Amino acid sequence: MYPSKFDYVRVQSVEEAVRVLGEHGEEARVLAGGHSLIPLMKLRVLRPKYLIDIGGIQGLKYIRRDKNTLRIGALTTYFELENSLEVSRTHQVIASGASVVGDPQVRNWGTIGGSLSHCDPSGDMGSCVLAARGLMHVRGPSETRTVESDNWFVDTFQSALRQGEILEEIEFQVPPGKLGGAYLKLERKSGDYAIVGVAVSLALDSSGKCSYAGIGLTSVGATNLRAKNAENAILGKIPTKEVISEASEEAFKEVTPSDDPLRGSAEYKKEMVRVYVRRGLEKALEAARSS
Amino acid sequence: MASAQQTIGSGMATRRKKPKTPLPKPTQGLVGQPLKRVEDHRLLTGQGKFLGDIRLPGLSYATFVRSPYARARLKHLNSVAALSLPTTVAVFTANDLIGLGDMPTVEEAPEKYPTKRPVLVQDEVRYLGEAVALVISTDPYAAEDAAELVDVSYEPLEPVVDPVKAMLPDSPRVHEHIPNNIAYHLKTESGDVERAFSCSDGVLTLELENQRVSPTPLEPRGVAASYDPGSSNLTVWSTTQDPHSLRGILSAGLGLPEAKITVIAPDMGGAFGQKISVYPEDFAIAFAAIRLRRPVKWLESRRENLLVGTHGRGQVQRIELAHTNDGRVLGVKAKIVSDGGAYSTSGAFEIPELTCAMVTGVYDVQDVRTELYSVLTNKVPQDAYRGAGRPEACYLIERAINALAKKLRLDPLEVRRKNFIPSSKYPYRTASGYTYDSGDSHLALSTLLERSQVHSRLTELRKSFPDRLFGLGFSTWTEITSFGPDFPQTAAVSVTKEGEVLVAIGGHPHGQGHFTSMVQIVSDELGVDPGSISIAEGDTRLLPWSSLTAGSRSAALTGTAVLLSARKIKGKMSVIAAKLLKDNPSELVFERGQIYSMAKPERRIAFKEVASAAYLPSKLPEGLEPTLYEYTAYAPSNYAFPSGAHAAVVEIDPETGAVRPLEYYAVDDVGRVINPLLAEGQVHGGVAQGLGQALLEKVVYDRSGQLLNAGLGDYCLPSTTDMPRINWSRIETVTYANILGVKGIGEAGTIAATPALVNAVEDALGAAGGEPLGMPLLPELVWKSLSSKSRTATASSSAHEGDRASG
Ligand SMILES: Cc1cc2nc3c(=O)[nH]c(=O)nc-3n(C[C@H](O)[C@H](O)[C@H](O)COP(=O)(O)OP(=O)(O)OC[C@H]3O[C@@H](n4cnc5c(N)ncnc54)[C@H](O)[C@@H]3O)c2cc1C
Repeated sequence: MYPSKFDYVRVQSVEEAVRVLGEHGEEARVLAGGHSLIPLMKLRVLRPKYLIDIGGIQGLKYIRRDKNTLRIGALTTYFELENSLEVSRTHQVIASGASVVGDPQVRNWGTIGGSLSHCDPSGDMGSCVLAARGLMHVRGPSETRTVESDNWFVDTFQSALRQGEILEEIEFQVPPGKLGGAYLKLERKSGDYAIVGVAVSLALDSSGKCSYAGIGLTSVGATNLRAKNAENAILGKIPTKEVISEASEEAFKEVTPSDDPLRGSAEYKKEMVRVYVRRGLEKALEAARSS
Repeated sequence: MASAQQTIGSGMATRRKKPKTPLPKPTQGLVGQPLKRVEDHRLLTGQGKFLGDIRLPGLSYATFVRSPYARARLKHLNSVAALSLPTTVAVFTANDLIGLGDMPTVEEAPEKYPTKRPVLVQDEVRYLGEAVALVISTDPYAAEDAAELVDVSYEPLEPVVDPVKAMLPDSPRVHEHIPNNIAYHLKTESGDVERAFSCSDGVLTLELENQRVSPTPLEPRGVAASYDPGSSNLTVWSTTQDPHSLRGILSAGLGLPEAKITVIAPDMGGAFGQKISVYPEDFAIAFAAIRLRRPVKWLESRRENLLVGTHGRGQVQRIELAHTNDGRVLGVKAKIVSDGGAYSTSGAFEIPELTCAMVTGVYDVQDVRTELYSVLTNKVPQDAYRGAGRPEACYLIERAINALAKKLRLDPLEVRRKNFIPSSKYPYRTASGYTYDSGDSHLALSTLLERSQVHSRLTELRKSFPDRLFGLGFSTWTEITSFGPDFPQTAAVSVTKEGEVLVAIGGHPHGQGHFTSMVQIVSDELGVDPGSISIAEGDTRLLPWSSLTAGSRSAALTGTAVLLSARKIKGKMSVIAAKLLKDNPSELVFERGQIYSMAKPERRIAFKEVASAAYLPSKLPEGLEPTLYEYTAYAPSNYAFPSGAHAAVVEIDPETGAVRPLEYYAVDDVGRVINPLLAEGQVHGGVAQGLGQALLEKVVYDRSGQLLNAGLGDYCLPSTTDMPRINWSRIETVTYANILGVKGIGEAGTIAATPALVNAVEDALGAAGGEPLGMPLLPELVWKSLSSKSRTATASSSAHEGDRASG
């Protein structure tokens, strides 16, 4: 449980971070909350030679709403997301998801940027960002770019971040209408990684029809993923019991999880997607109707 | 149910400090009071001294190179690259351990095979993580670096993973000399089993698995050693529950006289049985310190702890109950296949023996046959885990009683009552030859039902939430504690010239709160303020010998040794005080730091004054030896048998199979209780671990012998939020097993909770439930049981044959 040798630099700005990251190339890693990186270093699964600690960059820790845009700095912790009224008001799914990550210690340290960069298919935040269709703002040595959440989750532990880039901000649009969201997680015990997790974000127009539907899934594929057929099954419709049931059936059909010898077989996970998508939709709907 | 709690915090300690009244009234003793733990301030303010805190001049750090295979031939090992690092102090392989003995094994007997267990593997790796080399460096990081540079090649071999398959003739052998991998076979029979079975109306058969779990103490293991060549004294610091045994075993292994070895067990963050046995690391580190002439320390990582710290449980069980149609059990046959792991260790054999011996639990049945197969597999050796053999027994019989009730469509409590040992039959000799001296299962159960009102609670829940699934499960348990005539527990009490009391105890407490309970005993006996009593322990120099801290034995045995030593002190001080007071020694009362006679309470002398007189030979009565020091070695003549009744209420999510424990009630008979606060704490922790096994925990090996959950992210321990509220209270039947009247509480919760919870889940699944449940009851398992139930719901009557299923 002792990491291999590394040098440590604490940077004060994103510019500095990107510069130092560029200087050390593949041997360097960014350190945010450290709650994924440090355990892996202790097991020597990862052996970066340089750790670039971005934890002190004040400019990356914020939750801001301008008009119809919600902006969250990459260093914002789960705790801050969970307790932000601004986030709950428009993107309840994010607050709800953040509230069930690990335990209070993990939530005090872990960051949204760290979670998205780590890109663990059993990470909870990824599904929430997919459901809310976040835009990732990334800064590299020569340019900044924006990646849509649909293109972010490339593979297991592989995000769209390129060598030398840092995730700065996650941006969300606030859809019109009555909003509701929820993240539900089936787990062996409280604070465990999900057997199955479902993130739902909904908007209802004035006629009660679903004008926005986002459904993200945890622990049922190589990455966090979107249940697109399920979203389509509800979009534009009044979400009746039948519609919800159809949507969860679609979600059931579109996932192909693999067996996890500790947390559940593929068959079970698939069945649980059906149950949890239904429950997630019901909960999000209830929130939207009462908003 | 809150009777035990009502007295908590009644402020005994402060009352004691009130100014002395001119005429002291008889005081209520501290024993029985919920005194807060005297050890907590030090531990909670970071002032504990654990193995990790030990610093020695010139200390070097060890790490072990461990096999990534469960079974493999060691082909080649090269440490040149590791030695080339400037930070490397030494690398030891099997060939370098010249003069070091092998690890202890069992004595050869018919159907009992010893095995040769090396400290470092010489030729064949027999379990995942078995050490092949020891690397020592100037710091722990460098030690890891060097360990990575040790070049080892293995030829992987087909491992033996499943203990039942291990017994088949075509299975590979863990040790060539042990046919069918059956390292120990033991059959016992009492009464007339065949007659009982042939007279019965039917036989219920149940097969279960009691899965292997890890004890997971908060603090993993560790060893440090330092050798003084001038005196040839070796000091070993080890996380051990049994310092004196470790001293003896090290002496044999190292060829160093026991008198030259000191074992110190520092503060310890839990053990749960995992720190009883002596490990290869103990030998290796002591050897290295002697060889290198410099101190060496090794601290186990969490991953190592899960891989190579001994595991508990691990039994495939089969029970047959010969019964009458009205639910009376006439005879029992039990067969245990124990997953012993890679070597013949005494723990691995003795623990399932206890399962066989305790398999009839609290039931009156004399025609009993048991058969034990301790099978070797390519896994870390099995050893004690809180309860050690008794939870497995309780689980088997308590599940079987429920299965019998289900088969006969009777209330499981009715079947229990029909078979309880009637209170009139105590002392009761069990089929296995033990004598339960006292107990009353009828009373425990009726008290539980009355205080918890659990049946109406369940009715209420079911009525309020008709579409949700609730279940209620019971276990009526007993166990065996206070081992035993061959395991004396020792204590010494001395009083300084200033009247301060020093208590030395053997064994090694590791979280239980022994300091507090021993202070209570001594304070009562000598009538001194608890603040004037100091306790020393965990050092073999303190006492000539002692047995271990384990098996719910310390309150009973160490407590008695402490009490007897304090009594001897009191006797001697009475003689001195009588001379000074010109009174009769037998009439004297020790209270609030004063000694006086009941007849003339106004004439008194301070405890302290008598203590200092003891150090002045001229003041002493003739023939009395100066100073105050008394020692007792206490070995009980009988065991003790605590018992009780537990109930769990659970809810199942019918769509996912997720189990939520809602409420937990327990009424235990643990004899006299020294400190109800500590006792209740033991129940809480015990129930958490019993719940862990029922619902969450298992070491999961794949077919190649790899451990899939060697980290706490994957190995699933319950946390506080997974726990139901625990309502604990007591009844008490008198035991004469020891003069304190203590039966032992350390393991009660762990033993009783597992079957109570599984029985509750089965109850929630309904009368038409499918096959008997296995453990742990993770959501998928329960969901499968639910969905198989709904598939067969229409063919309802056949479901009652569910008892006969494979584990
Ligand atoms: C006990 C425990 C329980 C947990 N339980 C859960 C759980 O239930 N659900 C869950 O989802 N997660 C869980 N986690 C993981 C946790 O959520 C991590 O905190 C999170 O995955 C990473 O965030 P971090 O800020 O700690 O990132 P770090 O660990 O610091 O970094 C993670 C990775 O991302 C990179 N990185 C970090 N920030 C940036 C950035 N701004 N730009 C570019 N790269 C960056 C790092 O270089 C590293 O590769 C748990 C962790 C622990 C220790």
